[in-house]
Amino acid sequence: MRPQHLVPHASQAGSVDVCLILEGTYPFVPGGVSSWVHHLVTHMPDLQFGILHISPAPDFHEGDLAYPVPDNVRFLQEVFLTRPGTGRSLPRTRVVRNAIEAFWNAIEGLRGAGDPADFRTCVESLQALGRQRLDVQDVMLVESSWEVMLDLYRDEAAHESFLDFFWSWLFAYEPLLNALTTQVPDAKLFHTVSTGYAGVLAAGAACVTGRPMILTEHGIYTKERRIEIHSAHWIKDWLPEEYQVENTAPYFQLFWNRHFEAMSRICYQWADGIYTLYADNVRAQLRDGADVERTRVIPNGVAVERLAEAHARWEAEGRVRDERFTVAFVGRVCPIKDVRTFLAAMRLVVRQVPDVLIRVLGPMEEDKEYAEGCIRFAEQLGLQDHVRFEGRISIADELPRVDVIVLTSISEAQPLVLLEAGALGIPSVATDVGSCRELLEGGAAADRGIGVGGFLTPIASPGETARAVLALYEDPDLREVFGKNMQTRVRRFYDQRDMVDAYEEIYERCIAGDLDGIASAADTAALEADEAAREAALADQMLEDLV
Amino acid sequence: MVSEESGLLGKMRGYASAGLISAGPWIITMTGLSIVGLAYTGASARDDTVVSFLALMTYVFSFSLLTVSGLQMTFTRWLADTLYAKNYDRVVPGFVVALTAVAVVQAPVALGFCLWAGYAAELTLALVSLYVIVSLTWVTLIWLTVIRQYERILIAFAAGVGVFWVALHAFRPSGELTGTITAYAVGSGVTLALMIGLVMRGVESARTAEGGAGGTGVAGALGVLRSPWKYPGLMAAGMVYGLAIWIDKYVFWFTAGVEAIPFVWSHPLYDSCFFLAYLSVVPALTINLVHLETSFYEKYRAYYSAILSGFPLDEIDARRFRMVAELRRGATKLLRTQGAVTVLAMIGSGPIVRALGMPDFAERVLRFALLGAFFQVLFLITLLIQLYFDLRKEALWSSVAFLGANTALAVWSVSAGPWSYGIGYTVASLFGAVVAFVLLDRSVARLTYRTFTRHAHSN
Repeated sequence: MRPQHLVPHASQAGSVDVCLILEGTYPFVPGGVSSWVHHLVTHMPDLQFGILHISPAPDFHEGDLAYPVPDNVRFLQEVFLTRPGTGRSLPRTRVVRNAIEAFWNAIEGLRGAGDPADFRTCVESLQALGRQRLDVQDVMLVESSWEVMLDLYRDEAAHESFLDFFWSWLFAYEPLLNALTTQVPDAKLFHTVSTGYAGVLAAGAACVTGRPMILTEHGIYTKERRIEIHSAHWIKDWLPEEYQVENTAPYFQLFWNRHFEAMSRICYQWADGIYTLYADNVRAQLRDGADVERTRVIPNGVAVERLAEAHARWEAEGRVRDERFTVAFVGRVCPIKDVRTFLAAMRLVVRQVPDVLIRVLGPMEEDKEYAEGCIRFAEQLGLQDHVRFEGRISIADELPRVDVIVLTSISEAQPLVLLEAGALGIPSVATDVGSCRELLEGGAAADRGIGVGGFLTPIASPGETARAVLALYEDPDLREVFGKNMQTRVRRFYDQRDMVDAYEEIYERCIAGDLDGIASAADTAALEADEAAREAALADQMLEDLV
Repeated sequence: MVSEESGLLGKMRGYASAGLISAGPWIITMTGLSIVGLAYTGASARDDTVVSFLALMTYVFSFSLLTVSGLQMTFTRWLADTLYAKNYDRVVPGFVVALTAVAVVQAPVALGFCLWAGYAAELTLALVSLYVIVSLTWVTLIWLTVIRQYERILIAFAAGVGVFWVALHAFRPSGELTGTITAYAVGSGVTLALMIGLVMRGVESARTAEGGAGGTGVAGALGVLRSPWKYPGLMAAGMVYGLAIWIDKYVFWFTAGVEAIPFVWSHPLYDSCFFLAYLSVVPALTINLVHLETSFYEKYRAYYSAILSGFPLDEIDARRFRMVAELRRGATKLLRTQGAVTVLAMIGSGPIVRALGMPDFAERVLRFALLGAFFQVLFLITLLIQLYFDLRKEALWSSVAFLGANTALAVWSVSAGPWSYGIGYTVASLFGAVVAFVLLDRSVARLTYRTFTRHAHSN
C-alpha cells in the first residue's frame, strides 16, 4: 500500500531537492542497496526526495513495497524498460524523423568515442519525442530505424544470425529509448545508484537540465553483466521460445559487453561525482572510463553507537557467553555465499574442537532448494549435533555470543557483517573477495596501521578456512587483539553517520552549485600511485611468463 | 498429414489455404453452371425450363457464396490457428459448429425468399434444401484441406453428379423445374455427405497419428464463431471480393434482365457468355493453383525457414529473390498458356456462339467476357499470393478496387447499350489485377522488414 502523500508521477509533485534514479531496488526489492538508500533518505528529513525507479515492465513489481516510504519522498515514478507498442505506424512529422535520426547518430557516436554533443542532441530530441507520447516500440520498428539496423548489421555482423541480431538490437535499444524519452523531473540534483540504464537516464537528466548529477556504485554494473553474459542464460530467457536463439556466439557476447560498457561510459562522462565503496572498485571505474578527478571512496558504515551499547551491555553482564566455542556464518543462505564450503570447513574444525557450536544465521527463503541442500549436506558431514540453522536474527542481540565470524562468499562488495562483528570486538575469517581485505587489514596506510582484524582465505578452500578458525580457537589473546583492532577501525572509518554526513555535505554543495571538493584529490593521488605500482608488477609478471 | 510442418511454417501454410479455399467454390460454381448450361443450351436454347433452372441455380450459387465468402476466410484462419496449436480435439467440433451456424443462418434466408416470392411447397423445399446444402459444401471445403485427399474429393463430386443424373429421371415427372432442382439437391446432398464423412474420418486418423489431445473440445470449438471479430480485415476482404465478382451480373440482372420466374432475374445472354468464359479459365487456374501449392511453396518455405533458423541476411535475401523468381516463372507460364487459350477462344467466338444457337452480337460479348475472365484469374492469383504473405490490408484494398470499378462500369455498360456489354467487366478486372499486382510488388520488396516488424509487434 503506497502512502497517501506519494504521487506516481514526477510532474504531479513539483520541484524536489534530490531525484534518486534507481534500477530494480528501492523501494520494491529488499537488499543491501535498498537498505542503504532507505537509510540515507530517512536521515535527511529536511530534504525533499523523488524517486525514478527503472523496472523491466509494467506490473513487474506487483504487491506491497518492501520498505515504508518516508514522508520526505514526494514522488515514486516507475520507468518501464519495455512496454507493448500499439502497432500503429508513426506520424511522419519532422519531430519524429529528427528524433529518430538523432538517436541513431548518438548510438553510432557512443559505440565509438562518445562526443558529448552527440548525446546532448540525442537526449533533447528524445525528450521531445517523449512529450509526443509515442510508443517507443513503434519508433524502433519504423523503416528508417530498420535501415540503421541493417547498416549496423552489415558493418559488424554480416555473417551472424540475422534473427539473433534483430532481437539483440531491439532488446538493447528499446530500453534505452524508453529511459531517455522519460520526462526529466524538476530537481536540484540527480543521484543515481548504479550505471546501466539508471546511469544513462541520470546522464540524460544532467545533460538537459544542466543540474549536477552524482553516481554511487555499490557493485560494478558492467562487471556483474559480464558474468551473466558469460553464463549466457538470461539472453535466452528474454526471447520467445519459437526463436531458437543460440546467443552464446562470441559476437553477441561482445555486443552486449560493449553495450553496457558504453552505457557506463556515458554515465561517468556526465557525473560530477563518482562514488563507490572501496578502492578496488575505483580501479574498475577508471578502467571503464571514469575521470579519476571526480572519483571518491565513501564506504558504507554500521551503526557504531548502537553496537557499542550492545557490546557494553554484554561486558557489564559479565560476558555470559556460551561455554562452547561458537563459530557463526552470517548472511543469506544462497549459492553466492557458498555455505557448503563453510560447512566443509566446520567438519575439519569439529575434529579438533569436538564441542564447537556452529550457527548459520541468515534468511533461508531466497533459494529454498539450496538451503535444503545445505541442511542435507550438514547431515551428511555428521554435523547435526553441532549446527543450528536459525534463520534471520538481530545482529545486536545475537552476535555478542559469537567467538568468530566466517564468510565464505564467492563474490562480495562491502559485507557489513564484518564491520558489525568488528564493532562488537569479534574477529572474522573471510574469503579475499570484494573489499574484505580492506576491511580486515586496512586500505590506506593509516588504516593498515591499526592492525589486522581477521584472516583472509581463497574462495572455495575449506582447508584454509578451517586452519584460520582453528588458529583463532587456539589463541584467545589473538582473538582479543583482532577484535580490538576491528573496533578501532570501524569506529574511525566505518561509522554510518560519517557516510550520511559525507552525502549530506555533497548534497548541500551540489544544490548550492559549488561542485568543488565533492571528489577528493588526496585519495586519487594515492590511487594513482597504487595503480602505477600494480601495473608495473603486472608487467613484470607478464615478462616473467614470457621468459 | 495434418501438421506437415510444425511451428511457424505450419501456421503460415494454413494461412495460405485461406486464399486457396476461396478459389475452390468459385471454380466449382463456374464449372457446375457451365456444364449444366452447356448440357441444356445444346438441346433447346430457349426452353423456358432451362432458363429458369439456370437462373435459379445461379441465384443459389451466387447468393450462397456471397453470404459465406467472408466467413470462409475467417474459418480457414481459425482452423490454421487451431492446427498450429495442436488442439486437434477442436477440429471436428469446430466443423460441426460452423456447419450448424451456417445452416441456421442460411435456411431462414432461403425460406424467407421462397415465401416472399410465393413458391409452391415442393419447390420451396427443394430450393431451401439445395441452398443450405450448397452453403454447407463451401464450409466443408475448408475442412477438407486438412485431409488433402484430392482424389477422394473428386470421387465424391463425381458420385454426386451421377446421382443427379439418376435422380433427374426419377423426379422429372413431378414438375419440370421442381424435379430438376430436387434432383440436383439430392445429388449435391450425396456429395456433401461423402465429403463430411471424409472430413470426420480424415481428422480422426490424423489425430491418432499425431497423438493429439483426446476428448472433445467443445468450448474451444466455439472460437470458430468468434473468428470474424478476430480477423475483421480478412472477413471484409472475402466479402468484398465475393461481391466484386458478382456485382456486374447483379447490375445486369436487376436493371436489364428478365424475370425468369417470379423474383428470379437473370440476363441469359450475359450470363451464358460469362459462364462459357469462366469455363475457359478454370483449367489454367487449377494448374496455377497447384503450382502455387508446390513449386512456389517450396521457395516460400525456404525463405521463412532461413529467417527462423538464424541464417545471415545475405542468405535470406537470396532466398527471397528465388521466391520472387518462382512467382515470376509461374506468372509467365500462366500468361502464356491461358493467354493462348483465351486468344484461341476469342478467335473462335463466332463459331462457338453460332454452334450454341446464341444471337450474333453475342460473339462480341463473349470475346470481351473471355478477356475479362483472363484478367480476373490474374487478379485472383495475385490475391491468393497476397494471402500467402498474410497481406490482409492489401487484399482488402485490391478487392475494394475491383468492386468499385466493376460496379461503376457495369452501371455505365447497362446504360450504354448492348455494344458495350462485357467491356465494363473486362476493364474492371484488368484494373483490379493491376492494383493487386502493384500492392503485392511493393510489399514483397519490403517483405523481410514487414515479417520482422509484425513479429516484433505481436510479442
